[in-house]
Order: sequence, then structure tokens, then C-alpha cells
Amino acid sequence: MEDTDMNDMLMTRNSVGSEDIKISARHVQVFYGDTHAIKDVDVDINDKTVTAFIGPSGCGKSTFLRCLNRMNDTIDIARVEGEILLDGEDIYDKRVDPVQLRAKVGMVFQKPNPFPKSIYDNVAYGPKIHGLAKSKGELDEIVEKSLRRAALWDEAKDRLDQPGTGLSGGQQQRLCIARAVATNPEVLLMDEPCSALDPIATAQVEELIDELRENFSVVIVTHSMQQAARVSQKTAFFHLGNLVEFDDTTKIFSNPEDPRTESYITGRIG
Amino acid sequence: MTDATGFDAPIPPAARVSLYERSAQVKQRHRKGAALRYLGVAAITLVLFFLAVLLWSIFSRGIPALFQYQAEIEIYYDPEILNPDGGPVTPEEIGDVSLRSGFERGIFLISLKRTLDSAGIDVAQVVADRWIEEAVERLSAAGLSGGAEIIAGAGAPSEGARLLGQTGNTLRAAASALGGDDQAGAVEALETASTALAEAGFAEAAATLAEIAATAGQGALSDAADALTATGYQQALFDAAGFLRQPDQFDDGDLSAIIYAANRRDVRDRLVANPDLVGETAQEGVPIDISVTRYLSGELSGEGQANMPPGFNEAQLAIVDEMVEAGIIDRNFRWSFFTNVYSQNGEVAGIGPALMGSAYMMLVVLVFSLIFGVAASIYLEEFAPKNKITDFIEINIANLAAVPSIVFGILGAAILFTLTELGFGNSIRGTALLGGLVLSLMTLPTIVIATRAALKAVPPSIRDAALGIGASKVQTVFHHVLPLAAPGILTGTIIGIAQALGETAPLLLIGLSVSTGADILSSPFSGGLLEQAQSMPTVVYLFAQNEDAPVREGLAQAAIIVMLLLLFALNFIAIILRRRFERRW
Ligand SMILES: Nc1ncnc2c1ncn2[C@@H]1O[C@H](COP(=O)(O)OP(=O)(O)OP(=O)(O)O)[C@@H](O)[C@H]1O
Ligand SMILES: [Mg+2]
Repeated sequence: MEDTDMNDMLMTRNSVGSEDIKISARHVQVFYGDTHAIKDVDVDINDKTVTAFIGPSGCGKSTFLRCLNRMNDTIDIARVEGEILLDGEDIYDKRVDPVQLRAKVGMVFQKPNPFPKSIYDNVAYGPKIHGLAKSKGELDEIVEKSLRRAALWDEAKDRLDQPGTGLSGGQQQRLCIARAVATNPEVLLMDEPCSALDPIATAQVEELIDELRENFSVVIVTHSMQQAARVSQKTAFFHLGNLVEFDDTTKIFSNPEDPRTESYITGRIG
Repeated sequence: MTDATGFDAPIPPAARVSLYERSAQVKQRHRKGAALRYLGVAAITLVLFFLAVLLWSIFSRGIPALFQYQAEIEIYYDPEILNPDGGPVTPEEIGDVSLRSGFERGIFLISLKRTLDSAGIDVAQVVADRWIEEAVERLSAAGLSGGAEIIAGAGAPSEGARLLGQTGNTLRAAASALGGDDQAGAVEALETASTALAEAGFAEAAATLAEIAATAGQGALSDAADALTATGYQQALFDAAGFLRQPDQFDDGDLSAIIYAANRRDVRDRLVANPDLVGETAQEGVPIDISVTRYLSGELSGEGQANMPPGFNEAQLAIVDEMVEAGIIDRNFRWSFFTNVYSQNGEVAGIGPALMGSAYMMLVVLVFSLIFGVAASIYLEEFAPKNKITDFIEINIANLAAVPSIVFGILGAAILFTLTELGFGNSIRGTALLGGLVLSLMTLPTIVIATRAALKAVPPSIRDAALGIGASKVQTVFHHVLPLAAPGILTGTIIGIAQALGETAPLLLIGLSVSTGADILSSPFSGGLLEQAQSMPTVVYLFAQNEDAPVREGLAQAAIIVMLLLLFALNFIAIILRRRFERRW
């Protein structure tokens, strides 16, 4: 990758994020049984900012992401240590109901996983259980808005009552994004949301991410350097469970401090 | 890498093999494949063959048993029987008339006789003709031709019997004379017999005896004895005489045995309710005795002792033949089989209480085992912590599924015993409630195992998706996991219930075969669960134990057919429900 390209890309999005800290992680360690998957990670995720997690496969990006909305609770052998604060409150505190947390911290998974229900029901489910819509009309509105934000409305508007599982892989992923944004989360965690998308849909999702940044903070895991460079303001580079470097995206891509980061973004490790 | 190899050691080109030729390895693979295929086909053929044999043996016997032969009889409410003292009869008096002597042997017999009369059937004549025919056949089989005229000439059959008997006696005397060493006496005896035969009218036989007498006259006594025995005259004469004595022995009991006065109680009740009927007649269908049914259906030919309905003889069948010809006997679908209570007597036995009992038990099983089974499975699968205790519970549920059904019966019997000691066991013994509870216990493990498998099969990504947008555990399970698992749960439940429907052993132990089930039929809805009931499999068991072959080999199969149809219906419902559930996704 040539430096000029990269610099062009970095110019395309405004690279100033908010300085308010939304999530702050301290000394986070994750174990899967005896596997030490995340080793003493400290990260601050700013509000109204897109933060990208990059790193080679198996380095623990997904694992760390899942710590942020306590989805690791569902894995029996997973154990999380350390402290993660959302707006200053420890999300692993005994008083916290993970259900309530997850309504605030939404998630799009690595593999598209729509419910085997209609497209409409997929999107409407979250608002329904959280009581976000007072009437059918409001619900319809939320569904349409969410599908539009996920760039799926044009393709799906005529088949809202058809099963979500009948969509193509890329469409399914956008449906999952629509489902996640429908509940109006404060933080949106996206695990490789574009890995199954074509360039046009990818651009639409990136547009969406940029839009979401105005209200929420977004954390995105990606294997695409270009994508990280395009959409994020902050980038974290993970390697073998360690957070190697965390800084402004411009800094990481133009002038990384750690040689491992440099080798990775220039394609020499990974 | 390629550089290192260089040009000195070129990789030898692989020998070119045509795609059209099969290598030895491929051939062996094909052989194995073919062998496996043939094995599979053979196995399926075998299974289908046994299935066909099974179904054929059930349907070929069960279907005819679903039809019943009835005699349409003009019931005459004879005042003489109802009130031998004369005068008007009161309902109380009618109520006191014995069912057996007054109705079965009285009203019904008289009515049968009147019906036969008006159809132009002369019972005595039919009986006499039939026996004469038998006698003539017997005689001509032994070479004694002309029997018909001789018997007719003798007058009444009993006269014929006397004549044939006397003639037979002379033959017996001749035979015993031949056994001694008095040649002259023997010859004389033979000649006497010959004369007797000639006088009776058996000219050929008389000539044969004269020849034997000649043989004896030459001193070959033992040859003569052998020749005499070889003719078989003596036995034929005695047999025929025996047949001819039969008509006089035919009595009313023989006649009334043909019909089974099943509805005599109904008739009495009707009379008590409405004494005006006395002296009137009314048409009534009365079942034919179930053994005779086998003759009517052609299963028994009625020729020879082996093919005779047990307890009946040729003359009775002759009357039956006449009744068929006169159109008195007709064959109807046996609706009463589905509504009657159980009885030892095949003519009136029904599976009404068994159907009711089985339906109630299915209901109990459905409610108990589905609710508890699904609840237990959801808890174990979704909520319970995974630890030693849940492992232990899991293993024991699997073990429970393998426990023989009779053990559950013993458990039920033990509970019953305890309840009896406490004083209210009798009220629950043999009820559909107890049966259903025992069957529920038996079905529970099946449902738990099937439900857990169905829950496990739901992809974890669906749970993640629901949890990820903030659904609670309970919402996740009930909104997403359970609907996806429903078809599997349903299938497991239906299989469990089908198993329960066919289960016999535990029900026998808790007394579901002891009552006729009349109570549950008389009050099917109020307290049906708490009435003494029967179940389909126990009634099949009872039928199969019956002393009458037509019940053992007819009604039992008919009940099995009903049970099979119920099972098919259950499976059909399961398939439909599953389709509907699946289409929603
Ligand atoms: N459920 C699990 N049980 C046991 N080990 C796990 C589990 N999930 C992840 N791991 C292990 O934790 C480590 C980090 O996995 P993780 O999924 O976070 O990687 P990743 O960075 O997301 O990789 P990728 O880019 O391929 O998605 C890996 O070594 C993986 O094998
Ligand atoms: Mg991952």
C-alpha cells in the first residue's frame, strides 16, 4: 500500500472525535479455561467516535469486543478479570443486569445471524421487547428507519414479511445491523460487519457508521486496513492477546510506534 | 523451489491414465458400494415382507369381525310367558321374569319359531331332511346304494334308524361268528345278514355278503372275516342309524342356540317401561351366535367335525342356511363394537370404555408429561448450572427411559396399595387418572430427551442474536429457542404418547382390565377420569385371552385395527402440526 493512498484516505473523514470517554477498560484479562486470550488490556473508547480493532486472526479482537457487552457471560468457560466502566459504572458489577447493559451496548456479530422470522419481525423485535414503540405506526417507522440506515430498505421494502434467512449473506448482515441500530444503542459493537459485503454495500455500511458516530460510539473489528483507515478515528492494534498500540488512526497508519504495528499494517505479519 | 530441483532430475511424468478406465481401487470402491446397496435393499425387503405379513394377518381377521350377522326376528311379547297365571301383567311382574328362562328361552325362542314359521321354514322337516341326507351319504360312501328310498320307505327317520340298526346287528353277529371256529354257524349268520340286507333293500350288498358266505363255506373263515370288515357295511349302517336318531333329539335349546339373545335386558326394560307392548310384535335384530358367524362368513365349511362351529351340528347349520335363504339373516357393520362395554361374549363385546379410557389417558399423559417434560428440559438445558448434580439428573433421566414399562406398573400398584391402606385406593383403582399418571411417568423421559435434543439443535448464534439486542434469558428461550425447537418437541411428544397408547403391562397391574367399563360409558364426561376404565391395549389383551376362537382371532384384531388407526391419526396430526410450525419460519 502506498503512503499517498493512505493519506488520501485519512483525509476523507473528519478525524476529530469527541474527547468524552464512554468506555474505559482497565487491566482486562480474559481466559477460556486455560487459554489466556486477553492479557492486561487498557483501552479508553471515546463517545461519538469510531474505534477500530485490528490485528491478526485469533489475537482476541472478538473476545475483547464481547467483553464490552458481557456476551462472554454466555460462554461457560470464559472468565473476565479487570474493570470495564461504561459512563463511569462498572459493567461487571454485581448490580448490573447484563440484559439492561446489552440494550445500551448493541452488537453485530461476525457471522450474520438473523432470526428465522420475517424481515420486519427481525428489526421490530428489539424495539418491541424494550417498549420503544407505542403503536404499530411507530414500530413501522422504526423498522423503516433502521432498514434505511443499514442500506437495506430498497431491497427489502417489498418483502418485509418474508423470512430474513432467505436473504443473501450480505443482506443478512445488513439486516443484523438494522436490528442492532433499531434499539438505539449508545454503543454499537460491530465484529467484522463488512466481511460478507460487496464494495457498494460496504460503502453504505461505512456511511452508516459515520452517521452513527454523530450520536453513538462505534467499535468495529475489521481485517481491512483501508476500512479501518476510512471509518475510524481511533485504532487499536491487538497481537496475541496484547494491546500493542492504541492511538489516533492517522497516527497508527502514518507513524506507528511499535514495529509490530508497522509490520502488520504494511502486510508483513498477520 | 523449482530452481533447486534443476534440470538434472526432472520429475518423471505421471503415467497417463484414461478417465474411461477404472483403476483397481475405483473398482473395489464400486464393489463395496454395490454390496452395501444390495444389503440395504435386502434389509428393507425383509422388513416390508414382515410388515405385510403382520398387516395381512391383522386385517384379514379384523375386518370381517367388524361386521356382524343378525337375525331379523319378529319379537312377540307373549303374555303367556310374561304372566303364566293369566290376567294383566304389571311392570313389577315383568321385572321379575327371569332373563334366561323367561326371555332367552321364552320370548326370544317363541319369536324365533314364529319368524321361522312365517318364513315357511319347517324346522322339524329341515332337521329331518338334513340328517337323512347325512345318513344316505354315509351309506352310499360304503357302497350301500339305494339308501334314500329305503329310509323314505321306512316312514319316520326313527323307523329308518331301527331298520338300519337291525340290519347292522345281523352283520355284527356274522362278524363275531366268523371270529369263532364254527364254520357252519358262521355261514348261517352270513346268510342271515345277507337276507336282512336284501329285505331292507340293499341288493348289491346282499350279493356281496352271499359271496363272503360262499368263501366261508370253503373253510377260509379268516379270509371271509377280512372281506366282511373291508366292506365297512356294519359301521356305515350304525352311523347312518345314529344320524337318523338325531331328529328326535333336536330340541328348543338347539334352536335358540343359533341366536344370541343379547338384548334381552333391553327388551325387558322396554316392557317394564311400556307394559302395553305385551301381546304385540316388533321387529328386532338379534345377533347370531359368534361361532355360527364363522360358518356364515365361510371361514368354517360346516362339513366334518373339524369344520363345525364348536357346539353346533349339521342340522342347526341347515336351519341357518334356510334362514339365509329366507333373508332373515343379514350382515351389518358392527357399530355397537365401538360403543358397547367389554364382555366375555363376543356377540356383544365392545371397546367403548377402552376408547374412552385411552382417550382420557392420552389427555392426562399429554398434560402431565408435556408440561413437566418440557419444563424440566428447558430448565436443564437453558437455566441449570452445568455441574455434578445436573449431570447426575441427566444420567438418571436417560436411565429412566430404559426402565421396562412393567416396573412403572409395579410402582403404580405400590402407590395403589398405599392408597388402599389409607382407605381411598378403591376409588382410584383402574381409573383413567391412575393409568394416565403411570403412563406419564413412563413417557416423561422420552419427552425430556427429545425436547433437550431439539433445544440443543437450535443454533447458538440465534441465542447470541437475541441476547445481543438485549433480550433476557427467558425472552430468548420463549421467543426464539422454543419455537425453533417446537417441531422436535412435538415429534418426541407424539412418539411418547403413541408408546403410551400401546402400553399394556403397567395398566394390567393397576387394574385397568378388571371392570367392563360400564361406568365410564354411562358418565363419560362427569368424572370420567375417576371411573373404572379400560384401555385399548388391555382390551386387546382380554380379547386375545377369550375362550371363543372368533373373539381371539377376530375381535382382538379388530381392536388392534382401531388402535393402529388411532396411532396413524396421531402421527398424521404430528406431521400436520410440524408442517405448520415449520412453515412459519
Ligand atoms: N468460545 C471459545 N472457547 C475457547 N477458546 C476461544 C473461544 N472463543 C475464542 N477462543 C480463543 O481465544 C482466542 C481469541 O479468539 P477471538 O475469537 O477473540 O479472535 P479474533 O481476533 O476475533 O480472530 P478473528 O479475526 O479470526 O475473528 C483464540 O485463540 C481462540 O481460539
Ligand atoms: Mg473475531
